[in-house]
Amino acid sequence: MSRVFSRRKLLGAAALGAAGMVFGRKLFSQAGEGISKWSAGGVGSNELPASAEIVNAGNLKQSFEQLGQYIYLTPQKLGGGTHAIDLNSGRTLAWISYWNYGDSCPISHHLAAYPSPDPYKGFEFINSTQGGDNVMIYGLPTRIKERGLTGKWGMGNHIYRVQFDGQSMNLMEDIAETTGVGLGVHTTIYPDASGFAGADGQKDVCAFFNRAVGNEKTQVQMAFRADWVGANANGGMEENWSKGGKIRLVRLNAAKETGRFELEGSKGNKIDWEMVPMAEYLVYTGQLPGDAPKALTGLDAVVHHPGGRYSALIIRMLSCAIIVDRHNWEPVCCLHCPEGSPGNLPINKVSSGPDTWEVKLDDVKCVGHEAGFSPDGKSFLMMNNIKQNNMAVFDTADADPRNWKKITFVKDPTWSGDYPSPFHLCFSVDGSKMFVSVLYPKPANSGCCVVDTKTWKIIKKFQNIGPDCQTMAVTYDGKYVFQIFSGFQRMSSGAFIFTQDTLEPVGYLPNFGGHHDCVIIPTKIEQLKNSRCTTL
Amino acid sequence: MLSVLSLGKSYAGESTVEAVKDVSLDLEQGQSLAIVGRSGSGKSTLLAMIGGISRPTSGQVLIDEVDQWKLDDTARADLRNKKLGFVFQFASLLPTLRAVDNVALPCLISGTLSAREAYARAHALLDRVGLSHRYDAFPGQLSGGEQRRVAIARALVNSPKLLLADEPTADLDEATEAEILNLLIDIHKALQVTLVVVTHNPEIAERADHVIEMRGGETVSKTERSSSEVVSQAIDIVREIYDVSPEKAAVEKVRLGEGLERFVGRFVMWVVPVVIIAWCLNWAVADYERSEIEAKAQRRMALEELAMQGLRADLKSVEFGPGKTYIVTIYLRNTKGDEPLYVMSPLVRGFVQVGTSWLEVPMKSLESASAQVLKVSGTQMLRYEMEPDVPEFTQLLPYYMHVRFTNDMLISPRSQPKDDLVERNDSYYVYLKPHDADDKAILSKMKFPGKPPVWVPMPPH
Repeated sequence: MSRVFSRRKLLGAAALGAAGMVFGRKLFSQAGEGISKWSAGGVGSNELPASAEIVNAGNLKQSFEQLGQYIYLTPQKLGGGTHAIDLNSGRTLAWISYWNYGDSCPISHHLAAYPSPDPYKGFEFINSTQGGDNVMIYGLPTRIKERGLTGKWGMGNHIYRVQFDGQSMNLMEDIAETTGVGLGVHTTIYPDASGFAGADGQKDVCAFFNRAVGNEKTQVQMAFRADWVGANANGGMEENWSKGGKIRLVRLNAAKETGRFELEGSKGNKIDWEMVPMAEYLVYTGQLPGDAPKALTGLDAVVHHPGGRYSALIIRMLSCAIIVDRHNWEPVCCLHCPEGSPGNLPINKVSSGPDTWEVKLDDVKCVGHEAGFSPDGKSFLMMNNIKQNNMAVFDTADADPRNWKKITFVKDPTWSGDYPSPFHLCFSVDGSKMFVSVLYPKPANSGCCVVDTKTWKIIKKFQNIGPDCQTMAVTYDGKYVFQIFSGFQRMSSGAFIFTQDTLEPVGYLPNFGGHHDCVIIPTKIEQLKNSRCTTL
Repeated sequence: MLSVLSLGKSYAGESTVEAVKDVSLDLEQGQSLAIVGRSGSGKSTLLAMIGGISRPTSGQVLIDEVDQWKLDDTARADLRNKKLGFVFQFASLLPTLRAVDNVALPCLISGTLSAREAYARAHALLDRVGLSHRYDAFPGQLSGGEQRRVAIARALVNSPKLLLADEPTADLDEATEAEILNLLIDIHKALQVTLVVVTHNPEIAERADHVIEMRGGETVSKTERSSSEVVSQAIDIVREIYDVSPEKAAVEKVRLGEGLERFVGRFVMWVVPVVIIAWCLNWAVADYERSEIEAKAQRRMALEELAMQGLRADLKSVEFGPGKTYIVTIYLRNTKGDEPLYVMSPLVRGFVQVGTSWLEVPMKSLESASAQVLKVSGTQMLRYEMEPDVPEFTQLLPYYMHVRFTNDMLISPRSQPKDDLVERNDSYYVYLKPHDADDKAILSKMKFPGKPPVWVPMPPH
């Protein structure tokens, strides 16, 4: 018995056990802490601390602070409003819903923001909306039309000027109502922040507006409509464009009696639905209803050269951009983007009552989509889609746009057929990289890629980000890129973030709504070069 | 060797008590001194001051000309350990250690010898004090005399120059007392150890070289005799005890610390390897699992990419069929080209909007029933016949039905998949013109560039 349980053996066993405990605590300190805390906490115990610990959640700003002191503004599309996210705290700072202001079918579409020295104290942005029959292209088994909500107050094409006053968002003006110009697609702030441009590919109309402040009313500085006159207008629908023709650019004037334009709501629509990606196919096949689809050019956007003088009218059906001099509101030339087409076409004035210009295109090899200028203004790029999937690169360093030249194309072996296709673009703050969203058809996830702006070669791809990657935004400190996704409605949404310099993925930012656009509020005018001003 | 100069010790209190007063003495190496006197005369206090245990209030204690009370605590302890041996009034052995361990312990602490050499010396000393049969006995198993012998052996183990003994036979019977004292004297003489002994025993006093008698803390008499004789066998005895041969030391079994060594050995030999093996095993398993999970995720990602991006599927056309039917053509296109792609049983269903709900309508495949698994290479068309007999359909576009097609597919790169299978669910939305719709009526409500189309697809948005 004593041999089995000797004091020495017990002592040895105890020492071994003690050593094991010490070793175990060292080795598994976390688990040990967890267990000890758990047991110390008295699970199931009725004992409560004498006083509750107080945490001031308002001081917790560290969760997202690495993203910087920025406000990220995103429209919700079918959500019917727009919200601002404080990237520093991860909170939604404020939001607005246009239903509340009597818009019975608001599809919050695109936006652009004016610079504010302290966005946390206030800023203003321009938010276009769609409405009307556009709500019926998403497969919703809706009764919205049956119940009259797409009528007078739900036709869309509002241009809302919204102010954040440091606490909440306030609708300051419906510019479409003020001016009679209703445009539902891209909005872009001038590089000097003195106004903005808007456009709508359903109407083929773009307009330039001054900047109203507070309770002032916005005024139209200039408006143009583009019409297509197909050389083979009586042939098949596709040949209406592919066989060439003329772009006729007309200066629009307000009615003398009212001082307003007659383009509010759905007035002036050539087609009933928005020019979504690949909608060009439907125009070709005659399956897209509308008053004048054959005259469609797809003037869907305006982007501004950072030099401040010239703007490019983006014409999708023809993959070209008409350059307009904002000093005299005269068109200067037309950049034609498809591979195999002449790069810079002359534009000729053909009438003065009203002012009308024409650009002759021998053929149209493909449709185009989004476009933009590099921050230094030395490059212009536009997507060629469907029949060509590439990005035309123009050298725009010359002071005279008539000397701007198409120099190369950004291509990728996988960009073949109609999908995947380069979609939206933006640039890093230093201009060394271009970021391009790459669209796949649903249910596949889309992605984005990074292009070296010296060689115009793709150097990195982020794949499988989310459905329908849309516009991109960069933080102005040069750190992060935001790729918003979920233009396809009712599917997953968010923003994918990666670093501008090292191009490393950071993660996802949760976001509500079927986002179609995004912008980070600039704090300085010069930041507009990397904002919703020069690129889409 | 030992010089005590005007040594005094007083205790402060209500009245100062002088335990020892101005004691001086000198001893050469190998001499012996007996301190005698009545109880409370200051004998033990004097011995404690000589032994470095109790600090004197005056005077000096020089051992080999070093004033030990000027040394710091560490140096004094070192000096005590290496030059002094002390035999107390009681044996004061450590009860949890065996006799040989008790003896070897000072040597192990001082580190002057290796553990084996210390044990060899301890055995020699125990032999010398007549305890060769009691090496492994614990103090509780020893008699009082045996304990004193062990204590003497312990005091001698570091080959002290000075051996101090404070009434080493205080509580022993006469026979044992004589035995111990004789042993002490013999060892003193044999080893030429300077001996200072506090005793009441006159026999000891008679055999000492010097005797001082104390009373009230003072020396009242001093007696000096002729120098001690060195016993003839002294050199041999010293050699026997202190000159441990390497061979002898090599076979010594180190007892003290054996448990610790065993424990450390067990820890090192078992626990550490077990922990290392367990850690390595855990790391290897985790690494394997990680790689497996990663590989699986990569395979899954590649599979999903193949299913989602490698396969393009959409409506090709919808045409009027016989009666009130429609012929729906869906295309499947393998965009990967050289990679095989198999689609298992595409399940295509049709729904018509009624109110805010989707009402399923009959739909059947017009393809061969045997084609359960389709090998998709290039573009493959699948035809279905749908008969939407729904009179109360909702008209989002005037006169048109709002129709939803769902296409559920299982997609794999192999014809006989195992876990390499992905489910894909597509939905296509169209507006469908009823067979009996009047084109003029439609065109009065909507404009088309030509005849109202049979179907109007929703753009992929």
